[in-house]
Parts: sequence; structure tokens; C-alpha cells
Amino acid sequence: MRDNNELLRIEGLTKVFSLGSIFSRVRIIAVNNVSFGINSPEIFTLAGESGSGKTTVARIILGFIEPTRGSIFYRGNNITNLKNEEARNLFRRDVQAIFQNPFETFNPLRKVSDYLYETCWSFKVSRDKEESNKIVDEALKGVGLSLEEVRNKYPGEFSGGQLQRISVARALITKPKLLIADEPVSMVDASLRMSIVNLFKELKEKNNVSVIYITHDLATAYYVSERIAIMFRGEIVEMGPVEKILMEPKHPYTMLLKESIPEPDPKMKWQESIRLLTSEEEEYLMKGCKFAGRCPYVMDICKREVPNNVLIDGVIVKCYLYASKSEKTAV
Amino acid sequence: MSILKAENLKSFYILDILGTKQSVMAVNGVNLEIKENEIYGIAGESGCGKTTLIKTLYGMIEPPLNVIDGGVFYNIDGKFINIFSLSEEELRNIRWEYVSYIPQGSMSVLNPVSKISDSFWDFIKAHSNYKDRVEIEDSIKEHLNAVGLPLEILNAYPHQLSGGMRQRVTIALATILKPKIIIADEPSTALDVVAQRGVIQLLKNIQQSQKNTIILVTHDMGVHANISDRIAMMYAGKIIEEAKTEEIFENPLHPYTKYLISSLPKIGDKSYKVSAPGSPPSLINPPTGCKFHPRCDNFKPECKLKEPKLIEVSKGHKVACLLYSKEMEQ
Repeated sequence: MRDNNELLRIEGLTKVFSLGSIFSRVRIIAVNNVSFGINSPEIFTLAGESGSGKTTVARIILGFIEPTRGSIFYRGNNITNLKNEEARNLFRRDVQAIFQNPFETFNPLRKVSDYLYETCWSFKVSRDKEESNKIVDEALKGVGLSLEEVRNKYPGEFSGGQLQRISVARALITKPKLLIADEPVSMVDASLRMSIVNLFKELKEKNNVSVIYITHDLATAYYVSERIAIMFRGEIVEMGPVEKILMEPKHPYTMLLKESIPEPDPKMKWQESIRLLTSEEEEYLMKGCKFAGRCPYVMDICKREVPNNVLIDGVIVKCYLYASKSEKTAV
Repeated sequence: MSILKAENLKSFYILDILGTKQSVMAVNGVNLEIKENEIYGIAGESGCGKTTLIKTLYGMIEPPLNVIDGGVFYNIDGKFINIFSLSEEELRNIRWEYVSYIPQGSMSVLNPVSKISDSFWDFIKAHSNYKDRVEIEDSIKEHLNAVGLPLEILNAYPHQLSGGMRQRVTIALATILKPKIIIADEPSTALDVVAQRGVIQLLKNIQQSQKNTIILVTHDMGVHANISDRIAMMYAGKIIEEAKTEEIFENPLHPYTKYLISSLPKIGDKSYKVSAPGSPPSLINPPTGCKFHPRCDNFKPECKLKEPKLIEVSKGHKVACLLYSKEMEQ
């Protein structure tokens, strides 16, 4: 089911980290058989708690770490473990990253604009200084700033929100098709957060840029994205349109996650209490469904075997509750 | 009845950089009165001075932080006592029994090489008069039962517990001597949403059973909406609005609070949200007059000159904005 609109496809991505010495080795499956596709243009959210593997997925796509198994297709071409330097550069130009903490992205002793010029230079977007100036200014205007405001300034002279917008501007210099934004707003002040999120919306509508928005914040995910994948302990447990997943969650974990968000509305206070885990490690090592230990609907089979993905009502769910109601078994 | 008061409190970080003195005006003229048996929320962006404010309220003043002016008064047995007039020893004696502090990172609170039970044990020995071993053990178990934590955690080391459980242990420690005031600094911020909910519920349960006062600092308005009874909004070292939680969410008055409340994303709401223009101010060189005026839509020339006072505009609802003080004068 590969259509022409598909920009990126991840197939069966798995990453195993080995911890400890040769005597007591623990294998942590950080990402387990993750598959999804990104259309052009769309904003796709990868949501989950810390340790769910969402950042590892991003790092594999960006080529920072190699997957243990699985493939990545960019516009139909397999780009996993790209060895060819030229093809790699082409992919890097089209796919750009934005990181969580803007204060760590920039070296405090280096002018912010240097980063923008450097990107121009290393991707050979411009031929001379004058052209670079124009391109940098254009990119900054795209995020509501200008070269005048940024020139000769150091990171300490900007707020977190401004720095994060400059990170986006830097990513835009190569005219990318896809942005991978890993928790781009979690370090930005609440009063400025929406300006970054709105920027992604604008980029999608005006410049046809797709965004993989990685976050634990379901409220901004609902606001900005069309589709969402909920990750839990390395697996995608539920994936589909954001309205369906967040308004009528099917997987018990998604239900718990939605229940746990403190709504900014005093009329919607939490009522009953929830169960918490004592230790984190045991869930990674669980045999069947990783959520079985906490699931209120747990059955015998959940503890023994990993559930299949089932397609129901336009949503892919990895849960035995829906196994019999499935329209057909999805990939 | 009020249990804690702060009057014209000013605490600055005084930095000496190559001979030039600079002051970071983190708490710049705060007046507040916190009642018995309430959860008082303090909200604001990072760098607005909320952590410095509660450090000052707790009397945790270490250089370069200096209290320049004003006082913090605790109501101890019906008498208001200025904590800055107390000696180190006297302060140490009221800590944990009268007022306790829950910091943000729970990992750095618990001793990594001792079992949780030893931490409890040390804690009680240092701060209370219990002599008998059995008595202490019973009181630990009773408290853990009351806050709904499993007793097995007593035999665990901190690294064996999940982040949420660790933070709940810290909270259990801070409340075992039933302090009158609990000061919590972003107690749930570093945690995942599910663990966060557990921590917030625990705080609420403790408050309901012990009937004490919690001063809760967090930037997360969702957490405030869930448990705070009253909310103080901080901006650039000052409290700019204070009201009941429902009132802050339904009828915010200060332009900053209005921006903040209307920009909160909610599940099920895709309507366009805008964030406040501009950037948070510097605490070294804050703007003159109203600190919010460079970002404000209703900016008038006087805002630049006059610093608005926090005044009560309706019952229990205070705001510091010239828009409302004018109406009062007329």
C-alpha cells in the first residue's frame, strides 16, 4: 500500500541495546518492530513517555545510530545504512532535525548566525556571501525574525523561544521536505510554546514541509498533527488519525495516558485514583504485551504472546481486546 | 486563619562580575498571605522567580542569594514569627516538623547507598523525640499505609524504584512528621504523565488527611487546575494576579494571564491559539513601570512610568495592572 504521496516509510525497525559486561548482559529492546509512513505534507506525532523509544526512532532515521533490524525508505529508495556519501548528503539536505533544548543546540561562545551560514556553506546552497545573506534572511523571515535582529548576537541574548525558532530557521535553509522535531517545545516557556507549534502548521501549509513531531504532550499533538502513533516500551501500540486516537482511545495504555493528563480546566479534575509501577525494568523484559502488568483488562494470553496489530475503525491497535473484532490483520 | 505571610519581600542574587556588581531581582516586592488548610499554587514561566520565592519562604538563603528587604512570617502557635530573626539552630528545629520542602529532583534527595528504611530512620531520629525502635518502625509503616505506598519499598534502594515511586517516597518522608506547611517545588515536573498523576494525587490525599497547607510551585497549569485552591501568577519577580483557581481560569484579568490561559492547548480543541508576543524580561534589567508593558496589547504611556500595585478588584481576586486600578479610582 505504497502511494506516490509517501515521503518516508519505516519498516520493521528494531534496535537492541546491550547493557552490562559479558558476564551479566541485559538486552534492552529499545525499539521493537516499528513501522509507519509519512505522507507529504503532513504532521505526524510520535508520542510516548520517557523510555518509550520515540527518540531512538528519530535518531535512527537521522542516521545517528544504526538499527539492529529493519529498513527506512525515502521516496521509495532504501536509505538504511547509506554508504554512498552523495546519496547521504542528499538525504541530509531533505531531512533536517530540531532538538529539544535550544540552549544546548547552540554553543554559547559562538554567534548564532554562524550556524546559519555554516549550513548554507556545507550544503552548497549558496555561491557567495551575498547570496548566503539573502538565504539566511529569508529563512529567518520564515520564522518571524530577520537577519538584522540576529546578526552578531550570541545565544545568551535570546530567549528559549527565539533560539528554538532560529533552530527551525537553520533547518529551513536547505529547503527540507521533512523536519524531525524531538520535543521541540518542552524546554520553551508556556507563553511562547504555541508560537513554535504554529510555525510547524504554517510550514506544512505554505511550504509543503512534513514534520515528525516527537512529544509526550498530547494536547499540543492534538492541536498540530493529523496522525499520531502512541509508543509504549519500544512498540507502537496504537496509530491513526489524532481525533480518533485521542478522543476515543482503544488501547488500554492510551486510555491511561489520556486519563493522566491534567486538563487545564478546574471543572475537569481527576476523580478516582490510578495504579502506579514500583519498578520500571520489568516491563521491558515482559514476554507478551508490555502493558499486561498494569492493564485492567488483562487476559491470560496477554502475558504469553505479543499481540498482533489489528486494523479496526481506521486505527491500528496492538491489543487482544480487538483481535476478534478486527476487519483484517494489518502489517 | 493565615499561616504564612510575606511582606514586601525582596530577595536578589547579587553577582560580582569582574568588580561590577549586578543584581538579579528574582523576588522583587512580593506580598502574600497563605491560609491554613489550603493548596496555594504559584505559577509562572521559567526565570520568573518562583523557585527563588519559595526558597526565601523556606528560609533557604545561601549566597549569592540575599534578602534585601521585607520579611517572612510563620504563624507558630498563634504568634507570627519573622524567620529571618531566628538563628540557624532555631530554623533547623522548625524544619520538617513545622515546615517541610519537597524538591524537584527526587534522585538527588535519597541516599543512593542506603535503603529507603534507613533514610526514614535517620530522618525521624534527627527530627523527633521517638526513642523506641519499635515505635519508630510502627510510625513509618503507619504513614506508608496512610499514603498508599507498598511496605516492600522499605527494603529497596533508591535506584530500584521507578521515578514516580521515588518522588512519592520523598513526599512520604517530607510529610511523616505532619508539618503544618509543605513547600513543593515542581514535584511532578521531571516525571512522566502517568507517574505525575500519582504524585499529584498523593499530595492531595495527604493534604486532605493532615489538613495542612501546601505551597505548590509548578509551571503546569493543568496541575494547578487539578489541585490548587488559589493561584498566584508570577511575572518578573512579582505577583501580578492572585485569585481562586476557578476565577483564574474563567475570568483572568491581567493581560499576561489572559494570554497564558487562552494559549493552553486542550485535547478536542483545534481552534487557533496564539502565544504572547515578545520574550520574557531580563531580571537584571527589567523594563520600567509594569514589567509586562513591552509585550502588552493594552499598553498605555503610563504603564511605562508607573508600577501597578497588586489590588483587590473583587472578593479574593487581586491584580496588578493599571487597567484595573484606574477603574477603581473613578
